[in-house]
Amino acid sequence: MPPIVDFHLQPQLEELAKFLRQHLSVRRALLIILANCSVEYEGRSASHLGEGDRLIIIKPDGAVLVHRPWGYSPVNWQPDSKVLEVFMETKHNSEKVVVIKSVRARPREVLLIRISKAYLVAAAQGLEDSAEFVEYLDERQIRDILASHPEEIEPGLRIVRVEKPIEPGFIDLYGIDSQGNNVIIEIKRVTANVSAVKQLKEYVDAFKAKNPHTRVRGILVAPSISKEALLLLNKYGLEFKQINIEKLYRKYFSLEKRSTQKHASILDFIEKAALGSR
Amino acid sequence: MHIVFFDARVWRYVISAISKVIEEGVFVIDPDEGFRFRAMDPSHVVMVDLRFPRDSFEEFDVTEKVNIGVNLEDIAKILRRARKEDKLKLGYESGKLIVAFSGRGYREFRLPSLDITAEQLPEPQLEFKASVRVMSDTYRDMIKDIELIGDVLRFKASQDEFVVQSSGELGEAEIVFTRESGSLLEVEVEGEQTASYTLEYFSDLSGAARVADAINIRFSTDMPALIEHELPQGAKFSFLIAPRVE
Repeated sequence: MPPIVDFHLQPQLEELAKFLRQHLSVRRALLIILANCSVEYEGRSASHLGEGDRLIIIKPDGAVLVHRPWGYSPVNWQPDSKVLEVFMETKHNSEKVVVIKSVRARPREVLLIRISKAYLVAAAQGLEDSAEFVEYLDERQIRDILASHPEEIEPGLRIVRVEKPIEPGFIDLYGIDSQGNNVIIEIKRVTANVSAVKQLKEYVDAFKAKNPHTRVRGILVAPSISKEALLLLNKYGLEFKQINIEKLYRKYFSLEKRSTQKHASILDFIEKAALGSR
Repeated sequence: MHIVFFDARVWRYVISAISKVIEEGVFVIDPDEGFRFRAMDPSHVVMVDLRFPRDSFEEFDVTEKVNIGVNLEDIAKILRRARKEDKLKLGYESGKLIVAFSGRGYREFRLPSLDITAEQLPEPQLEFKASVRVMSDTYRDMIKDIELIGDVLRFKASQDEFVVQSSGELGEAEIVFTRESGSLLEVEVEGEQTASYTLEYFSDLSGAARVADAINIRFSTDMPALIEHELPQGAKFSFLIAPRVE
């Protein structure tokens, strides 16, 4: 389902309070407020920020951020809120303000945002973001780089097949080394553990069962390997090849490299043509 | 099951050429469709498609569809043993691929079928704005000429000529095909079309042109090219290659 977005331009303070309460009661909304406000904070420290135009963000998990119109970091923030309250308050000069109060339980910290004039308020329900944040390369990208540059694993190695299906699953890379041995390669982007070794062993065994008269090597490719995994690997007669993911990224994948890529995949053209003819 | 083709040399040159680009794949033999092999190179730049229709075979004894996983280099090595006037027999028996030559005597080879699942490759539905037809030896000469100079070839087609260019550190080359000179059998182009491709794939696959009658080159500006080889008996070998993106 697409997110539901609701907003008010130049809301009256009463409207703003009602809008915020309504969306905070549902809790899962992401709120954005552009307003003139002052901020008070008390907790491990204490601060006061006078009136000014600010961008206020309240996230569905209770995180609160107050941004000035410049700079990348918020001037005030609350990592999470145990309680989020909205109420009207009358100042000494009988001027009314909307107060957003965020209380963090541990450590106890209180943030009070007093809004005297609102320019915009918006709420979005049901925003989805489950993507993983990947540093440098994900496993599939490492696999594709090594498929086109098998010399990074060892000289003379030729890759025959990417994602070769075999009984328990898929072999990341399958190739032939300079001696004519079959090589089964399992790639991990983090420290290889015992289960990675067992997985590789399964593939090697399955391959041997299907091709009983061939010589097979199994190589585990990862940035590092745990002690237990290395012991098991040696016991099984398998090999470990260390790779530096940052180096692979800089050498083959950085934005500059990608923009001068020589070929697009033929599949991209076929898919585009298929879409166009539909 | 078994199938017999009248000239083993056709298979020899085509499979040998494909084996330079693709290591392994699946031979599909279908009682209605005949023989088909489709595969993509590991870098996904080229997709090859080899078809021998049912009727192209002298004998075609196939009752059910068979998929035979093969290492192309292994098959190519055997097929290189084909001599003039050898017929080729392909068979499949209890997990083994049979490759046999019958001419002067009968020579049979058996290879274990590899455990490979046929890749689900899409059927390309590309439209090409330029279509050029040349004799196969003209095509092979063109590749050899370009090989002297660069590693990229550039196709340029207009109403009445087809030009292949290349430039490299060594210099530049330009080969012009026209109808008048007889080098161009047919040309059909919308406006002017130009695109560049990596020569290496053309060189590797050019062996297949030895047994082709004519070659159809189809492409559009900065789009893939389809190189179709018309083989004897209505068989066809084609490859689709992605353009170079500069």
